[in-house]
Amino acid sequence: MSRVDSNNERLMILSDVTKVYPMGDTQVEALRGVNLQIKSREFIAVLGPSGSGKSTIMHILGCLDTPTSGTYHLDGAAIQGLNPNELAEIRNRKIGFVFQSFHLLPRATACENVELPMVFAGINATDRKACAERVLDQVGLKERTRHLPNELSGGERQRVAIARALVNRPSILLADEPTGNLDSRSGAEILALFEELHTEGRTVILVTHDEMIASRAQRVIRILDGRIGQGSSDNHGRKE
Amino acid sequence: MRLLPSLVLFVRDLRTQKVRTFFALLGITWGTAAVVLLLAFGEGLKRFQSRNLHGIGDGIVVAWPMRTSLPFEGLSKGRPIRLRAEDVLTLASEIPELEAVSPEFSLWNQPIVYGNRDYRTYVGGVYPSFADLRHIYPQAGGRFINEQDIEQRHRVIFIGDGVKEELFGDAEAVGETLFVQGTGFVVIGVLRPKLQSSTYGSGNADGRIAYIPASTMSSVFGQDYVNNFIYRAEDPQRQAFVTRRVYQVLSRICGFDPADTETLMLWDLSEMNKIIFYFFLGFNTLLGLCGVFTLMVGGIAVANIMYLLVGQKTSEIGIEMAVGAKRRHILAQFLLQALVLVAAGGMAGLLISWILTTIMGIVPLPEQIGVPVMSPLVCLVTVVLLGIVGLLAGYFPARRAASLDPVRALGFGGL
Repeated sequence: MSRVDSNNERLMILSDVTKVYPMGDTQVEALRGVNLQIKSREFIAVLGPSGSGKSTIMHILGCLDTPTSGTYHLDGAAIQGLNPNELAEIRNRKIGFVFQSFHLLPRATACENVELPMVFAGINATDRKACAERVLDQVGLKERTRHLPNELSGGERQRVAIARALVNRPSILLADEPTGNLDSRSGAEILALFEELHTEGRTVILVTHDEMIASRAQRVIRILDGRIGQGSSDNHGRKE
Repeated sequence: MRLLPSLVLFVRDLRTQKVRTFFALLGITWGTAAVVLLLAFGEGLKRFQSRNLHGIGDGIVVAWPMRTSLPFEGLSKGRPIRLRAEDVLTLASEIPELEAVSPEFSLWNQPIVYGNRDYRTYVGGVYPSFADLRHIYPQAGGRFINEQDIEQRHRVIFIGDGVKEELFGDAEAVGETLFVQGTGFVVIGVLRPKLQSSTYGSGNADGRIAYIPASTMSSVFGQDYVNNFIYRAEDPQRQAFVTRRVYQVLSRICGFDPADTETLMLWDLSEMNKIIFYFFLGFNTLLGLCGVFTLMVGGIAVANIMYLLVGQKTSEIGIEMAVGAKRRHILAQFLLQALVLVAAGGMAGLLISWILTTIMGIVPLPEQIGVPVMSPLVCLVTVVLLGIVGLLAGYFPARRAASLDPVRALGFGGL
């Protein structure tokens, strides 16, 4: 690790992060003091069983949520204490999300779904459309831009979601079990797409419970009971 | 512009709620029509009444000489005030702010005879300025009393259209001779029919009375003192000032205390204008409120749909937030959608109202109701009300949507 420190700035730094959710009368500790540093252009898998807190890490890394305590620095700027609008702006410009169940707008076409982040970035309609079509072409959906999500296969839907995550050219891609709802062939294609996107120079963070999928990443971070567990590994050597 | 795609999607969302959307639109349409039609009726009635009121004259003051109520320079109180025509005319020369003034001599219940017909009514002796003050305009082929009639004491008479009807029927009246107390008067003009709701003194509207020159009345019927006089300030705002000046000038001529307001009994029609204005302001506000309540029902239906959509689209709102929608984007989106719904219903309501008022303008209605008018003010009030209803119906659901927590909205329970 030390040999890449000099030219790879630390993109995301979690310091002693906890997250507590109220659940009825009790408090649930989803994260119990997480320290994590992610460098630019890394391909990371966050591995853990259901309920381990791995989604919570992703929400915090993705600025969807803020830590209960501890600090989070993204691109050198402190995230805790930002208001919802400032968080929205960061999500819009720096982060692309891909979810397990796709989370597309059901009554919007593939193209309209991909345009959505640009709507909130204030880009005009003509540019939006052109850009959305170009990115859909990149993910191999050139012919499907006018289709509604329910007219697309699972793999195609996830490609639309990836196109949407890419369209504002964010440096970070966060994917939560992106292959969880896909058959193995579509899943493999989607994983290949993430690898390609990483090769193009993006930071990719993959949340999964699947060891096989995690093994495709450069680095695996194991989460258990809200803590970063033993056996978090660095796959750099193996890959090269 | 930026929100245009959200509107396209909104229409698609509404298709999933056809029945509710239909009833919400119906509610707004109904409410809009209620507001517009009630206000249009109120406006029509107001215009009718105010035209009626203006029949007697615009912003005039009618003054009757009475008695003194204060002793003045050794003279006891209770002396009657007697004014000659010249005294009244002095007012015009002494008060530059006075636009016009006319003395009026009065004979009540006079039989006006033409051939073997007669008609008993009021005959006034007035000056030419009376015509403009009291909105007395002759029909084509006739004229009102002029300066020469006054100077030469012509025996001429100007009759109301009702009087003409009684005495002449359909026959021509101008140039014919009528007799009042055995003296012949040549008809010089007939009143152009007008709407008039109020009278004073004569007890009849102008259509059923007659006028002769003031000078002729003094010489023929021995009337020395005016029954009343009428005046109007040039600037309606200075009516009170002019009235004060009238007391001052007359007190000097007749010898009374200028502070003794009992000397003249005044009927200020500009006050009546104000009363009518406030009455109809209240009346129309009440009518408008009735409409507003109906519109509110529509607004609640719209709010209901918006709440429903917010609930239904929670995860979509979460998606929008995840890809960078700020509070104001979500807020504006739902507000705009509510406004679009309200605008659609409102336009339908305005269209229906326009059709109905147009029909009612053609169909004969009882005259006293007036004709409903969709005046620009009525339309403006309606549009403003619709805007308020739309904003309220949209704001609360929109605020709920905008304050959602993105993680929860996306369906992640918390872990």
